[in-house]
Amino acid sequence: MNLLIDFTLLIGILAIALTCLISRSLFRSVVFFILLGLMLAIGWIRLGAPDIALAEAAIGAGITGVLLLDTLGHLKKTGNLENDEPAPGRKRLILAIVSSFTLVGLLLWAVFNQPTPAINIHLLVTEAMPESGVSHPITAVLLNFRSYDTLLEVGVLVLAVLVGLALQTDQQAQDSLPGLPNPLLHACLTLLIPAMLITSMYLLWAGADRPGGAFQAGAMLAAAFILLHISGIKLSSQVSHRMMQAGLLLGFGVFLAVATSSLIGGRPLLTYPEGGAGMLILLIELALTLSIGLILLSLFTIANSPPHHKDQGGDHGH
Amino acid sequence: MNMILSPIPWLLVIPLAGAVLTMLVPYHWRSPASVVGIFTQLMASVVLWYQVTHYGPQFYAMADWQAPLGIALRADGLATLFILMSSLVASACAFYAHAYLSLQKRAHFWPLLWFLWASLNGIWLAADTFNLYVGLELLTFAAVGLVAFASDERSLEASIRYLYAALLGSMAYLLGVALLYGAQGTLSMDSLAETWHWGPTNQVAVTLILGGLLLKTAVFPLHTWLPPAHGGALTPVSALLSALVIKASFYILLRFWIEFQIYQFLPSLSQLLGALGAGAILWGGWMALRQTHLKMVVAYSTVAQIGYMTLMFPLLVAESSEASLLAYQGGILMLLAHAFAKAGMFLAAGNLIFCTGKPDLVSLAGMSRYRPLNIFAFGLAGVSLMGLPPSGGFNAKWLLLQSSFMSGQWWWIVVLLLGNLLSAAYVFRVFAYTYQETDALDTYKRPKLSLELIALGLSVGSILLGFISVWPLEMISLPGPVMEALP
Repeated sequence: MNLLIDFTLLIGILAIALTCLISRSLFRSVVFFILLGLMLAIGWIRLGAPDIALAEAAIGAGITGVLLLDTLGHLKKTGNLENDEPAPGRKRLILAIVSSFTLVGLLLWAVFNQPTPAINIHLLVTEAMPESGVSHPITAVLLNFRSYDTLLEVGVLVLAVLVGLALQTDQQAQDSLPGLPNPLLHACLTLLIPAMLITSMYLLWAGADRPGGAFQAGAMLAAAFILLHISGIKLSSQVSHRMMQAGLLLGFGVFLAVATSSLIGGRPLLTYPEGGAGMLILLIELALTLSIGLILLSLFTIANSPPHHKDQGGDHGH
Repeated sequence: MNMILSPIPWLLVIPLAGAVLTMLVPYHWRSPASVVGIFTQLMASVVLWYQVTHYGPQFYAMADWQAPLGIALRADGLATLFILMSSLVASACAFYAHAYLSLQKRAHFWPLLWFLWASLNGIWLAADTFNLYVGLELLTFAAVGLVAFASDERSLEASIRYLYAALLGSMAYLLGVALLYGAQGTLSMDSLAETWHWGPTNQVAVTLILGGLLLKTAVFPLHTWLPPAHGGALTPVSALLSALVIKASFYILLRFWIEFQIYQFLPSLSQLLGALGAGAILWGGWMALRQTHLKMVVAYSTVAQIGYMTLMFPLLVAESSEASLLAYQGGILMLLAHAFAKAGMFLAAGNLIFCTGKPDLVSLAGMSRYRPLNIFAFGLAGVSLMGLPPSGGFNAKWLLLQSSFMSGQWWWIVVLLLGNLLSAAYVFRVFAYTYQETDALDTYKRPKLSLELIALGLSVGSILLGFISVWPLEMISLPGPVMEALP
């Protein structure tokens, strides 16, 4: 039975990916891309990696899908979208097919000849778990054993927004997205938003001992923010520009501050004090959740502001 | 060793904190805050240099977890040299940007620069394959942001192209790292080297990693994204990209190549890399000769110079340890000389373009009379790039030549000499334009003196490197993982 599910899933993923690639309509491609994200999420569950499944569903299918749909709408509005994409040239198609088959072949060869690892990292993780401050190994790896990687990854997120903001030269850029004045939608929102917020907090809290954590919770929070945004309730007009920026940086700032505080005690960067690991991880994750939610929202709203005018040297102060 | 005295964490914390601070404080405070940061970075680099030369390579266990469970950082001679190089060049470019950019632009420049700097330091110090991936991601986004930041249509297009190329490279690298992890159960470079096993999995992994890194370094024929990105960016950004950013992926490639002893097991791959390098030298030189825009000449010159660095790989041969050592030293010296010379040349070129207000070569007429100091800076950088004595570039090529003789690979000598002729041709071609006289009225703008002096300083640095080459060479010969793995 399980084998049947797996094979169906496998064929489904391949078929959806192919449809997404060869579809001549961009809208259809985007829809299939979102579907692909969901199928991949199920694939991850089948592989026993629920953390990745959650992230894939929330970010890979959810947020990326919204961004893609939004870009499509923007292209349509500005008239830069042809209804049917021209078919790729024969040479390109052959090159793409040959290179992807070569890659798949190489990967299959590599995976089927994979030796047994000389180092058993799982054992090392299990041994160190009691000192990590949490009981879910993924959270322990992300926020304790390899917290340095996570710190830099959060940096990448902040950087993405920073690049967006730097390109948005027009300071007074307003959202061009009108709210949807639909009473039914607003009634649904009053039910949906609290549920989404609670789910987000649950995911954050669950991260300590089961799948979940700041990234998934942040993505859920972002989804709630974006939903509000689309229906016309603008967060950006409620809070000042500076407050928003502080919110974007809060997670990274708190993480960096906790990381550096250990230096004062003469211990290496990112070391948690004896017995305080659990609390500090929760603190970092709480700040990260808020920031990730705001960062993903900002990526969405920045993409929605009107295209900036040609910069005239930009010699005027703020 | 007392952890509070180690400069290693500060080399990462200061730029990261700098990025956060310069995003939060009002525009007028961003430059002063950054200047403080720059000086602490320079200081931390010097302290690290002192510690490494006196007490040997430094190791640092992040979060107090030893590798392979945690992430280790390593500061050997090579890493320390690169820290010093990036600190000097990035500081010069930062001061240049401060004088060159408007307040508005500067305000966005600082956080991007700090992220760039953090990622560079992170990559030089990394000893973990996945950590290197994260470093590369941070570097890519900072660099793409900086290119896009000129915000005209051409630079936006160039930055998107750059982003696609860089992401493709990152994906290939990550796929390779995932395969290595599956085969060996570790991400730490030291434990990977210890348990290295040349099976099909590792071969495919190495192929993917090399392919990705070659694309990110813009090694011929994967270089097409580089000229529009480097040539189209704002001047201080062009200098940073050519001098430092492409060196990061090259550095990772080199570390993999030597520490996992790829040269020993895949000698044919060495020759292939050499052939790509030769292609880069000839094609880059030829294209530089045919450009009509000044910054594009300099950008194609970068393509050619990457070729010289790549020539190091076929010369690292298992049979001759002497030839290998010479090639290693020559390659690193080449890279170092290029960092200073190319930063100097891009900044000098930017000054000239600022003067004439036009990017093309024809409008340079009369410049050698009007801006002699700046032409001098351009020329000194050119001397190092051409490999004329006395300069860092000359010593580097001399070492590479010697290594080719010693390992009996005469064909690389031909490439080196031909490449030199081409570099001389494209540098002198720019000069020829500046000596032309026109009857047109002078409507030149005068750049600030500080802009010209910074360009001159970097170019002089590349020449000085010719006199003090012994010093960086001693530094990279300090005991460490790379020296142990060399034949």
